[in-house]
Amino acid sequence: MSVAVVGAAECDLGVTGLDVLTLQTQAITRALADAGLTLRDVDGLATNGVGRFPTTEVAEHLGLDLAWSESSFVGGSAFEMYVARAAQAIDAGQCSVVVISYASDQRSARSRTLGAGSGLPPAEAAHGPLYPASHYAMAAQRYLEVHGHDRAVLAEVAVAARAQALLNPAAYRYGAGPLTVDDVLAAAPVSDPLGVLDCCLVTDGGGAVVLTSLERARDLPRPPVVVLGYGESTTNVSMGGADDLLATGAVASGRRAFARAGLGPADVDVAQVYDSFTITVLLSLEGLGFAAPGEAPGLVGTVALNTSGGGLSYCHPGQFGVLLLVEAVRQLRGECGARQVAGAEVALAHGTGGILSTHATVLLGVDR
Amino acid sequence: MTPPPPPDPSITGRGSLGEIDEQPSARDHREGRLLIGRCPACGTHLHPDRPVCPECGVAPERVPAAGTGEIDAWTVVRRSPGPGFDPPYVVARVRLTEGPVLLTSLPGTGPYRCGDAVRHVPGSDPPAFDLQEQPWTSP
Repeated sequence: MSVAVVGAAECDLGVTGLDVLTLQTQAITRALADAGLTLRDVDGLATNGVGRFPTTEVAEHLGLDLAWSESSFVGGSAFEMYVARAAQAIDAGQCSVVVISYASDQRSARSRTLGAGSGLPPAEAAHGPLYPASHYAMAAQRYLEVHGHDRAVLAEVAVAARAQALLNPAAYRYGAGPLTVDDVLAAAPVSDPLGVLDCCLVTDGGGAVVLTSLERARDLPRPPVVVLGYGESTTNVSMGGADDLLATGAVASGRRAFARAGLGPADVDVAQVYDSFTITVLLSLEGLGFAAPGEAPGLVGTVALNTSGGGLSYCHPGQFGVLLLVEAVRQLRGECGARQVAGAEVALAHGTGGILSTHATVLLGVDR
Repeated sequence: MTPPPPPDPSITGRGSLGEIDEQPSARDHREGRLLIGRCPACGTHLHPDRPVCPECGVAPERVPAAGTGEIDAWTVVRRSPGPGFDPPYVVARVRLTEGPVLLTSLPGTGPYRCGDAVRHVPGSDPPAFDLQEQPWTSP
């Protein structure tokens, strides 16, 4: 594969008081500055979450002249899917410089709710599940019962995320102090067995990455981060639509990405795995092949995972996928300071959208 | 493969594309039956509702389910998703004996176990389930 990520940046995170287009502008212009490129170089844009015609609105706002645009709306995994589309478009010559961006003002706008806008069939919504929490809660309950674990294995995911956030000055919980398993278990319940500390943050934020050909990337200021492989899987939209809650689309998504890259889980030095909820991490690690079913808890706190602090303790702007990519790129460039994984050469970013509905995996590597 | 049984003439078929009704009718609920889709060509039970069988391309018919199954997963909802809901209550995935998984409700707040045998509560709307060991009561 011959496409690389050449720029990466966050917009302001947390509680910003800024609107979505302002945050998008920050993300895009900062990522382009990081890449040593300008708005005039951009001829491809992938984004969503901005009005009715997302790429069109952002392009007009910034004066972009697009030869390619992409707005698949599939929840938090969209941005890993955009990497695949962008790599194909650049390889095919349809465009030369693609920006993948996302931003949300959900915290400042107080627009996040527990039940609305779910897209569930009315026959399911009538039973009153929280969306998306109750779906992840059911997956978690089954996971604990089938494997004979207790809630502590979920809590450890939140504890590990907090430990990473304490190393990341950009994290929402940076400076919040460490979290204990008991803290997580004692937190207010949401949908059993998940409590509030099993659930991701609700913050403003977002980010952008810039992709171009590897050939061009080698002339730009930052070390190129090569797109090694990608894969995806789309499964269910309803809560009854998935046959097996414990065998998610991460299985097919990861298998496809590893096959395309000619790599396996053992080749990954650092993993950014979507953590909308604590259970999401365990199911995804197992689906991706890092652990056998029921054994992912043994990895938590011991492997290089969600180094930013993740959606649980760093930032979760509604769709977290773009920030998985930003952290993966920074780890491969060695820019992560206190949380840097020494010598990281291969990074995995795995996005999950909806209610374990969509899954997309990207493998990135240093330029060898 | 065994051919599917002949259609039950008392059940209103879903007919051709363009005549699809979205939900079980009020009459179905009054009669207390749990109906699920089944492909008239291959006999596969289809749930969630689909306009056509993905294998055969034929519109499903609605047939009575046995009304039995087991708990696939469950959760006690502790916060309200909106007006009209009064937590705590249990939402569950039930795997019907016919195979498909249905999102439904169970009484009380549990605890339940995945694998517990459950049965449809006749006349419940939306369709609810209860443990099979429970004394049978009319809603």
